[in-house]
Parts: sequence; structure tokens; C-alpha cells
Amino acid sequence: MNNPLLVALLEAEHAAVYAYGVLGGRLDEDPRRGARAAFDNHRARRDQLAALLRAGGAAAPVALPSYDVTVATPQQAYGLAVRLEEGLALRWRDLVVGTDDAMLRALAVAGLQETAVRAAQWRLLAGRSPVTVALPGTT
Amino acid sequence: MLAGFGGAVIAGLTGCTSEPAVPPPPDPDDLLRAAAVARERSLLESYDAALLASPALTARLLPLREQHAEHLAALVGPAPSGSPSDSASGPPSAAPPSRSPPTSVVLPAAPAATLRTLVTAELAAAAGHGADAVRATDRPLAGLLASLSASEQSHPVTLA
Repeated sequence: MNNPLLVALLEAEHAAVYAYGVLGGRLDEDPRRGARAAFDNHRARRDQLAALLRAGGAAAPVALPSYDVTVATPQQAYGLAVRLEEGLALRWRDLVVGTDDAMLRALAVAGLQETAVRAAQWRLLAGRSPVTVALPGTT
Repeated sequence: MLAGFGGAVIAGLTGCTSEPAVPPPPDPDDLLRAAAVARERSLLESYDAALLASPALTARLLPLREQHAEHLAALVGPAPSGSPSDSASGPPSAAPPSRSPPTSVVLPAAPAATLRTLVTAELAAAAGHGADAVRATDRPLAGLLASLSASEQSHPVTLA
């Protein structure tokens, strides 16, 4: 186990779950469904990471009571969603290069893929170009 | 795949006519890198064929093709200084010659079918890179393959 990396990921997933709950409320029905799917996915990853830490005998940090999330418009919601996914992509990639454990490596690759796809979906909705990046998880 | 192995065997035979010494086994990470290079070159061929078949898709496809050129450059390292560096204007010059003969890419002319073909190719490459990212011993190589995999997994967002 690489606990500092898993802890950093878990903390970021906690923040993402909170933020998607807020930003989804600023979106119309179609994109809100996307936010709901992202919320569910981040919650599942959050629970998976917490379980991994506990299974290794480590403490799993809980969510903060609240996070500084200010979203007033759909554009701000898209922007926040892109930043969330890009931030998580960095941490998933950190885990890819921070472990030799095949299970953790596979988890990290899947996490990096998911964040790259969602970041692209939000960039597309926000009207940004380019929609995709060549090297997700590398700033 | 079979053609690739055949080519390697032939290259091995012609390379050791006088000495029976067994060549050292290749570094597994080198094989993973070579497989990734082959996947990116194949994708570039697919995009070139798609651009020819469906010029109407050019604005959509060129940014993705450019990212595959970046992928290939990241895999093979920086081009030697003084050599042509515009990778979008032709076959990437920094790439080593492929051992396997180039696969002929045949794409349907209808844009919708072209896009579907590219989506399939992107997702196949993403799966290959992703699996090899797990197998790689060298951690930076693992990170690179994971990023390539994630990029290709996201490309269908603009192809679908």
C-alpha cells in the first residue's frame, strides 16, 4: 500500500463528491444527469479508497464538514467540474507511478481514464477547445 | 502480431550468421514501449486514412491526430536537433522503423462509419496501453502509458 497517495486521493474524492452535489444544482436536466453520474462514480471510488486504506490497517480520513464551493452559473459549474477532474487525474497518475502493486496500478489507470473522459465531456459542454488533452494527469 | 514476430525472427537470423551466441532477452519494458509505438503509428495511419476518406471531418480529426503525434513523440523521445520536427506534416521522423509491415488501413467513406471505426481503434489502443501500464516495471513508462491510455479513452468524446 502507498498510504500517502491513497489518502490524497481519498481526500480529493471527498471534495469531488461534495462539489458535484453543489454544481449539479446549477445545471439543466441533461448536464445534471452527467453530474449525477460523476457524483455516483466519485462516491464509489471514495468508498473503494477508504476500504483499501482500512484493509491495510490505516486510518481513512473522513470528509470535511464543508468545502469552499461557489457556483452560480452553468459555465462556473462546468469550469469547476473540469478542475475537479484534472486535479484527480494528477493524483491518479501519481498513484500509477507511485506503486508497483498490480492491483493498485490497475485501479489508478482506471481512475485516470475516468477522469480524462469526464474532463473531456465537461470541456465539450463548456464549449472549450481542445476538448481532450494528449497527456492527462500531467498538468 | 504474427507478422511482427516473423519479422523479428528474420532480423535475428540475418544478424547472427557467424556467431551462434543467443542474444540477450529483450527488456520487457522495451517490448511494451515498442508495442505502444506500434499502436500509435497504427492510429496515425487510421487518422490519415480517415482524413483522406472524409475531408469534411478535418476540423474534428486534426486535433486528435496531433495528440497521437504527441503520444508517439513522448514514446520515442525528442527528435534529434536539426531534423524536421513538424510531426503533423508527415510520418513522424523521430520514430524508429517499425518491424512489422505497415497494416493497410481501409476506412469506409461515410463520415459516420469513419468515426465509428476511429472510436473502435481509440478504445482498443486505450485498452492496450492501459494493460501495459500495469505490466511496466519502469514507473515513468507506466505513467506515460497510463496517460496515453486515458487520452485515447477520452477521444471518443469528440468522435461520437
